[in-house]
Amino acid sequence: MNNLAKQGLASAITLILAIVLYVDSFNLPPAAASLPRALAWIIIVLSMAMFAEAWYKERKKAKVNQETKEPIRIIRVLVFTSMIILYVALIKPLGYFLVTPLFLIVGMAYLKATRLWKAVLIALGFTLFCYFLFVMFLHLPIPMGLFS
Amino acid sequence: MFKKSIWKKAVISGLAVSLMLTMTACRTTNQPAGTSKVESDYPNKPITVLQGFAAGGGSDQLAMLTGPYLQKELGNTLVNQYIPGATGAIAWTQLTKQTAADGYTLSITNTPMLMTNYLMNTEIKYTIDELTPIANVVTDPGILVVSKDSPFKTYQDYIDYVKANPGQLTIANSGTGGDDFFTILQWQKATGLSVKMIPFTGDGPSWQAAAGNKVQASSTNLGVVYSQVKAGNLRALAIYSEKRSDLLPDVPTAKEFGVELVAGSSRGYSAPKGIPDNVKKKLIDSFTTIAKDPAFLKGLQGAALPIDLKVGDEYAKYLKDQETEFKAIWDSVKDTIKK
Amino acid sequence: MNEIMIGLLNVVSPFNLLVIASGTGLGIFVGAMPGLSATMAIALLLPVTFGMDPAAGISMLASLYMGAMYGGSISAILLRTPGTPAAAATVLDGYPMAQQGRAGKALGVSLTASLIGGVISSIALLTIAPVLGKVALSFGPVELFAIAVLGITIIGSLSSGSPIKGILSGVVGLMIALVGMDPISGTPRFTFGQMYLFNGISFIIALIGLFSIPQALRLVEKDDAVKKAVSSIKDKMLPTFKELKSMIVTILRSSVIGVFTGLIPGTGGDTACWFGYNEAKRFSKEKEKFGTGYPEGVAAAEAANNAVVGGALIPTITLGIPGSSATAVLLGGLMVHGIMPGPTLMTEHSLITYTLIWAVLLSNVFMFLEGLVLTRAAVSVTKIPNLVLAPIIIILCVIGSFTINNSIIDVFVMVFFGILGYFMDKINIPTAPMVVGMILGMMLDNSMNQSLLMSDGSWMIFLRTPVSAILLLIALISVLQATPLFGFIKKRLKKTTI
Repeated sequence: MNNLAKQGLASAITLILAIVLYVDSFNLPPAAASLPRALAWIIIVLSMAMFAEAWYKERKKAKVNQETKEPIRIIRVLVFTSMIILYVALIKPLGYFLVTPLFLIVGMAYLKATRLWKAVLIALGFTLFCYFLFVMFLHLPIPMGLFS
Repeated sequence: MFKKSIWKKAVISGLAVSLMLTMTACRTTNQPAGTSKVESDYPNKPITVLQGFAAGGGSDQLAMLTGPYLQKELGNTLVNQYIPGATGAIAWTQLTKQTAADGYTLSITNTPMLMTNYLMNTEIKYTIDELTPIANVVTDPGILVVSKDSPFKTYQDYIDYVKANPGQLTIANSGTGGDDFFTILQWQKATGLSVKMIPFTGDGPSWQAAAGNKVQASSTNLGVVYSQVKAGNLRALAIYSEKRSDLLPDVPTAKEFGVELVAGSSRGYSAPKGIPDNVKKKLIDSFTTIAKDPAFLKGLQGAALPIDLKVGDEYAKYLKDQETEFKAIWDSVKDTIKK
Repeated sequence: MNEIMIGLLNVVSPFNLLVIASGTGLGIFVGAMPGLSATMAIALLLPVTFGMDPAAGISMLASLYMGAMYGGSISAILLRTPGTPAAAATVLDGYPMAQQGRAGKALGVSLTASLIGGVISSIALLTIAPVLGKVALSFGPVELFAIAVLGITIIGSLSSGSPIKGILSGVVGLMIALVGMDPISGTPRFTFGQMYLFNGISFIIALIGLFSIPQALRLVEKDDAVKKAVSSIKDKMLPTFKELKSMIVTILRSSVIGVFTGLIPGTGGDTACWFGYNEAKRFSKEKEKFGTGYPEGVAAAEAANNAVVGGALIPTITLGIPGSSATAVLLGGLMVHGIMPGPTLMTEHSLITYTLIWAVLLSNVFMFLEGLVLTRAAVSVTKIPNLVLAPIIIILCVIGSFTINNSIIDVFVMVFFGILGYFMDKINIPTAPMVVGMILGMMLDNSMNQSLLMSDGSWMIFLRTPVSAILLLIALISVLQATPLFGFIKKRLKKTTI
């Protein structure tokens, strides 16, 4: 996706968000609706301005040499993000003690961060550290799932 | 890469461990001791107390004063969990809809907000029928305060001004739908006068606005402003209770001026509907016992909170009566409030 | 005077010193953990103090507050993850410094600024508290509205790259803050029938997401093959005398800002750090250096948030009005110890109060000493390979955001804001203005509606009050300063004087 398309998408999303909230504000009593309505207008104007700005810059850039960016590993970011979402989704039903070390080991193995035995050691150590800090020491709740 | 910093890590972990040990030691000395008198094994883990208001507010005050005694009586720790917002509705919805009825989650239930929340907003779905009322602990009467340099020296001055300037006097309350909001509505109904209500985000900002002369008066609670009245930062004009309070014997009741108004906010503890009978009994017994503890009573007295113990069915009936009363008030005024 | 001396004697007892030292150390440690704010730490450790005598217990909680205000900057600098909301502004210059291999220096500057800010506020607390306390009462809705407006101008100065994007980000932040129950009308706003949203979107949850998740994702974007700039431990941590001299004006200004922000009920460290940062930038001759790893940026934010501690305690002990959410919990703690919070603190309980004040002052010293030791060790975090650090940051964020309200929905919201933040980053929309917007949104809306209720809808009320008129004028100047018009006038003025 090129830069202009990205900016266009962002503008469109904020624009839609502002319109939805603007329409929803008519369900509110007048005092509660006044500030959100003003803000919605500002967002509408700015999101269009942002697109205009991007469009203008894109045209100018066509003449100037585009600087080459260091390539990033998009697939890896996507897989890692999915792992985070999976981790959050599973921590409640399965529990902290199962999912946390698993996430750390699989995560580090996938990223080839370090040797496997080290990854296992770090994962177990850090899981225990957090448990002691939050539960034993600060008496805070963490999701225990199967272990409760 | 890791090797070099080993000693440094040792330093951190040493520090961390020693700190933790110190703290854990402190904790264990505080752990309630006498677990032997518990018949069933309830409670065998810490009990969560949901609080619908931010730390430091009136509801927290009760939890802080009651907590240590209740903890000792129950033989396990109480953990306060603050879920402020929507005048307590977030916490009470969680209590009634999302909490296991095992007695390990209780909530401080404050009237009239407990009922007025769902009476006023159809979006709020819980009702008091989904609760097991355990015990009411305090009832904090409503009080009318003005700044120390206010021109209103007496309740009569105040009444005269409101009569001469209908709808002009600015009076702070703790938020739309809160106890003080309803107290002002009840007052307007009882006197036939009208004032300009300014909602704030809690009791603190409400009386502070009056003390700083940002508004002309504040309708709040005795326990909240007692020390400020004592110190002379605020002047109390009238109290909305049956008879004068022992704490401020010089402050007249509204009744003395012919205003039939008894209002305030009560705070107690409730559990979700359907908790086991032995758990309910255990909790009620604990409250009955601590209410006789002179140290506990002294603590309440010190915080200017008048004790008003009602347990089990008596508390349930009290809540039900309040619900009927507030529904009537709200139905009579709602068209003028929600324009 | 006598009570002051007895308080001092009381505080230097070995047990009290131990309590203050451990409170401060704990504060630093807890403050460095994302999700665990100073307020939460005080609430959590309140039960620990039940067994102590009131003076020691309260002293411990206050020193915890002080320590946490510094601790938040450690993770802000090393991990780009503010440990407490009050360290959010520290990220802007602290993390770039760490990337340049100057993590040690950044932490040293933060520690020094925290010390000076803390000491100044403690001295204000000890000497002129009764005078300053009255200021707290002079802030009503009208004045708070003006502060909120002034705060919003910070959004403009944080968006130096593209003003359009920065302001858009800030306004969206304001809008997000308005979600939830409106206390003025008693109606739920933009909740779409979702009970979760009645409470609004928690600012701290969004903050963790916006700053930390994008950081973790950025770490996995590239292989470790690109050598990281590793901070040498031998690198001198504390700023030199010359460096300190160049920053001292900024630190002093931020300290004063911090004390006043602390004084005002409803504003605390999370607001103060932005005000401090913004004013430092406004008065700086090298504005363009802010945000690129400029030590003064770190100093400005950190001096302000530590100065909040003393500032917030001033109305707390003189009037019984908590100046920040952390002091509100502290007041609750006093009550458990059988002390009625309120104006009697200075009279009936003066011994406890003065012990507390001295404890706050001393906690600065402990913070500095413990900070030196802990920080030197903490710098070694920069040696952990990026790809190991990324999953660890995720765990800290997930657990941290879960524990705040014990809610898994909060964690999902945190991740949502994280992904949002990552995309914002990719198209160069700054996240910092959104954070400022989220802090100020409710304050702006509540105070505006309250004021307009009082004035029967007349906007003139904001100009009739001197404090608010002055603050609004400063806000106007800030806005004009950003426009080309201001530069033009400045140029013309210069010419005419020559």
